[in-house]
Amino acid sequence: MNYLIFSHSGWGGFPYKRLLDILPDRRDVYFIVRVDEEEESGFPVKSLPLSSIRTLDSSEFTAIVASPYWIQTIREWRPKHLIAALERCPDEEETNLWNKYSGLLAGYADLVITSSEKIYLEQCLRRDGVILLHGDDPLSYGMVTNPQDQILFLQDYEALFVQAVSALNRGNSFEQWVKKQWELRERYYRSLNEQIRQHETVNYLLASYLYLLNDAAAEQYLTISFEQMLLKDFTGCLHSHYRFFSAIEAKKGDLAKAVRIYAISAFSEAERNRVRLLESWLEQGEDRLVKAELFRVNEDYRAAIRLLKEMNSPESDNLLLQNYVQTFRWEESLPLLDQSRLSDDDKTVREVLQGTVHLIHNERHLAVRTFLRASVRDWNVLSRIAEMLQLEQAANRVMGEGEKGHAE
Amino acid sequence: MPAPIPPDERNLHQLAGRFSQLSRLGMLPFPNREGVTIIVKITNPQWAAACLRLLLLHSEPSAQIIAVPERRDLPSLRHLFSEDDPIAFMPYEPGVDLAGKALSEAATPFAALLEDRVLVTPHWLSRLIWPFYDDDNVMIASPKSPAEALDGRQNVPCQSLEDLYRFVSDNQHKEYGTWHAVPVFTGPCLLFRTSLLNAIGGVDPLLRNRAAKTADWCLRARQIGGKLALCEDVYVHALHSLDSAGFSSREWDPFCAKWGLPEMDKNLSVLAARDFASLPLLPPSPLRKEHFSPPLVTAIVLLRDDAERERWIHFQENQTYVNVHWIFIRPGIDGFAGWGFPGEKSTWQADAILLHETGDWIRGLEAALKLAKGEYVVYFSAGPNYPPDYMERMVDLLFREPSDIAAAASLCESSDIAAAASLCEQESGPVRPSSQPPPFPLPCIAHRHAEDIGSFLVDRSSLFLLPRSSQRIVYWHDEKNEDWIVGGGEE
Amino acid sequence: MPNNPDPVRKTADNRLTAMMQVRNEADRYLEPVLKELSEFVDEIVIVDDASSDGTAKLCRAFPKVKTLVTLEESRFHREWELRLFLWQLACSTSPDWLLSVDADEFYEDKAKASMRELINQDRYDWVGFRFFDFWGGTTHYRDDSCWQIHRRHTRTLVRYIPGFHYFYPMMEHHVPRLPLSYAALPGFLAELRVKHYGWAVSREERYRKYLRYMERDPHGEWGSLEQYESILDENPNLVEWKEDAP
Repeated sequence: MNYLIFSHSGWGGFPYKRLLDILPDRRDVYFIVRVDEEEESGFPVKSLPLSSIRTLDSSEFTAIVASPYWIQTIREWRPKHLIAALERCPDEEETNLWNKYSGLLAGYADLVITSSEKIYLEQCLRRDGVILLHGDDPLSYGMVTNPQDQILFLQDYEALFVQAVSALNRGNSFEQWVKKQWELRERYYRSLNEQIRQHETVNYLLASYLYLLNDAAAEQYLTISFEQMLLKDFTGCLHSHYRFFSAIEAKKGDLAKAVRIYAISAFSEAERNRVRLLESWLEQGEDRLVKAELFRVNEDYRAAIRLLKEMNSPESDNLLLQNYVQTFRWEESLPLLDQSRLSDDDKTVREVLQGTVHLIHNERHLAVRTFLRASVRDWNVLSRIAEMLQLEQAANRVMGEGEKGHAE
Repeated sequence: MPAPIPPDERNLHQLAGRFSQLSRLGMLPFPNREGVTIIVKITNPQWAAACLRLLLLHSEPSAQIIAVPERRDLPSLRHLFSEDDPIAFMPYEPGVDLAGKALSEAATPFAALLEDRVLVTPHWLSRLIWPFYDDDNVMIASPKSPAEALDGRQNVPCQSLEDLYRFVSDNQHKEYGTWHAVPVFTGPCLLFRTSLLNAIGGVDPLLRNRAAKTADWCLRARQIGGKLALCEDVYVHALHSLDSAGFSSREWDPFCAKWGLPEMDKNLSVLAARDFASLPLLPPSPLRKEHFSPPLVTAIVLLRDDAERERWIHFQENQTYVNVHWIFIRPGIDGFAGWGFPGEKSTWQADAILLHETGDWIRGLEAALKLAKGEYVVYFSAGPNYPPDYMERMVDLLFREPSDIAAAASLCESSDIAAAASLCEQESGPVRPSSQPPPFPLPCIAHRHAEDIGSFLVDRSSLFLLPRSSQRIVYWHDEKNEDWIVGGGEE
Repeated sequence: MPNNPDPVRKTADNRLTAMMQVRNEADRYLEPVLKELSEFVDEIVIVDDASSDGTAKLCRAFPKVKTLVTLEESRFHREWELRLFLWQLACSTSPDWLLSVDADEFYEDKAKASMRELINQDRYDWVGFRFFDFWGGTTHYRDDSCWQIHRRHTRTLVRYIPGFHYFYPMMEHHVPRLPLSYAALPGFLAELRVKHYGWAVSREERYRKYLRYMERDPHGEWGSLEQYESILDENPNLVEWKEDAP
């Protein structure tokens, strides 16, 4: 497999150099920005100006994209596989723009990698195929021989990355490696918990990984975390901690209890309406809808989508739509919007989503037209046009890095 | 030549200085002329290739390496090495203790046993051998490594082989020549006197995990007065498997039962705390020759009617396992025209044919087990589509893990699976205690031939084995033709 | 959509149950407290911590005391257990709202009058009141650096929500009177006052109390040594109580 790397701020700031050394099944590895000659000899990559990517057969490439602002380029070029490398918003970038287009990029990705555990857990709840590029285990979990014939020892997350990418390249499932990482993280936090007892964050993270592993022991550790939060006066934990019990109960299958827990945590008008809806579904025996919605309100979109995709009803489609919108899978949400009867607000939402999809596909005029049409109903949509310009500037910045140096 | 005069203490200091100088110059010869046999257990071809290359690079020329495959599906590595390299590759044989076989044939006074996840460093062997000359009671020596427990555990965080070499080079003079006796080893790299094998035999194959087997062997060596030398001046790196499930005290149950321990702890500290050497001597596990050829397997075929006979003839002709004792069980106590009697010249093999009253399968099975001669028992029926190497693979699973029962659930017929699930719930209710294994459809399992393997059940004309909760069950999976990247190896 | 017969929060017809732990209160303020409570709560649940005076008999004289359990052995030195026992007893009566009252606490008239309005809503699950420590009598309360409880709110009125996770920290003394879990739920800080007469006693009685605190907690592990010492202050700052003050 060939690899094409899209960085955010050039070779110097590229945080994944070591990964380039351990890429599996490698043939050619190109870097879209100039690499210093001296450094290029140390790392097995060739720099490539952006303009040259059109000469490459994209169907033979796996792209690793380390900036959300490459999204238009990537959608146009369409590599065989897309790996999105997500990181926290750099200080110099605008947070909303960065986070939004990171989410959209992740929505298109075959695999997501990140060194931030916060982003990692968020993504694990949104989609399949997420690898954390961080580990606390000092042991070696495998080895590779790089193109310079050096033997490199792999840390656990590196070995998982290699396995997952190799599976991706072959068109095989990589879910066993994703699950393996959950097991490793669970083991790590369990061990930490034995040393630092009664810590609210450690217990919460342990509960989170147990939840992902469908292990009912998640409840026990979440309870400790919840109690510790209150003992230490961190009282804003009703949604983050208490409500999470409802997802655990939903997984266990006790839906009445799960709905009750959610109802206890529900105060806003929207939440209370949702409680009534859930209770109604429970009464009608619509257990899967109840489960899916409980997962969604606990931000476990992945579990919700998995359930809803098996169903085929107006209610399930409506929930699926909400899940797609919230996880930035906007292109998938459009057909669902099209088959519903839309209120004026919904029509505006549809146009905003459609406009953004046009933008991502570099269909600038269509994007502007769609936003303008939507702004007739809601003038706030005009801010999307401003955002469009921001995206273009940001994209030009990263693309400029791609050309800088090659022109010299 | 007259015997050398023992030096007095004034000479010792001078001699030590001269020794150090020669050592620094790399001019010291290896103290053993008859050589060392290095046996390497192969589980992962990528790891093995690196392991063997480093062994060739860093071991004495007199060392002979024997690569022993631990899995049946490993590709050959022969082509990676030249004909002149002192490496022999043993072919794989199911159910055979190949490492034991290699050890039993080792003609050198010293042997080393390694796993392919071990990456040796310069001078590893020449340093590891010296404790045997410092003290005649030293029987086993080990370097420090990340895979050793207790005292011997050391992990050098290194991202590459270069880092490892740098560490060794920077530290080569620290602790030089230092070793101390330890209570036990559990790691994957041991050097020992081959005479030890005559005294205590090989590892106990019935202990479930590698660390337990190593610990048991070392403790038996101590029971006969042997010392275990941990070399402070030798570090080998070791890779770990992502597949490792972490510590499980259950895996140590057979070891604890053997040594009278209540339970093993995660840090294995019990091994250091207890005075094992003073316990009554445990019998040796002799390196048995019968383990060096494929073990006898009893195949019990559950016939529904005579029409299935052709199928079995075809299967017998094509299946790959060589050492089989065939027992057929058939309902109906009338004669079976056309079958031919065992021993007669016929196209099929049957060492015994059992007839029983229709429906009375349990008696038939119990009688068959009494007649069974094999070390393992494999069941067959007409339903599943058994591949030709089915027996080979089941024997392999039972021997290698080791396990009491091997189950090939993917071969079961769906009706049998449904019946098993229903039987499961009848036996224990919707929530089964996690310690109780489920019933297994009989045509998809194999087991060690033991006294009390469990109980047979018949339900809706399907036959099941309900194992005991203490038994270890392993499941086979469809082997895919995967290219090796990383992974594999055992903890 | 059908109405849930068992909603988490009712906005009408909520029953108010007072819960109290008592110990040898017969000669103090218990009778007037029970008399006042009977005017504005629906039911009273009491745990008598092995009283040796006429406390139990006094409690039984009030019809609204529907549940009274007398412990044979005192759990005074295991405060967590006592609190939990009272809580579980109160919960077993299927209450809607619970008011935790000590045998020397009096709600001001405005508070009593507001109770129904406070509990017949679905926006918050607990109410905090301002408690005033009366000192040496029933006309003045103490206000100084160690005696400032009136400057914050104390949670004493809570909605009982079956199925919620309730827990008490396992301490020997100064255990909160209600499960700590309520801190996670939204509450209302009412500008309503409660008169605490526990210190409205003679100097000798206050001295005896001081000795009891020092005996129980000589190193200030559970409470403040400075506050214990301040019990003996000769001239504490006292403020005259005014009914219906803002």
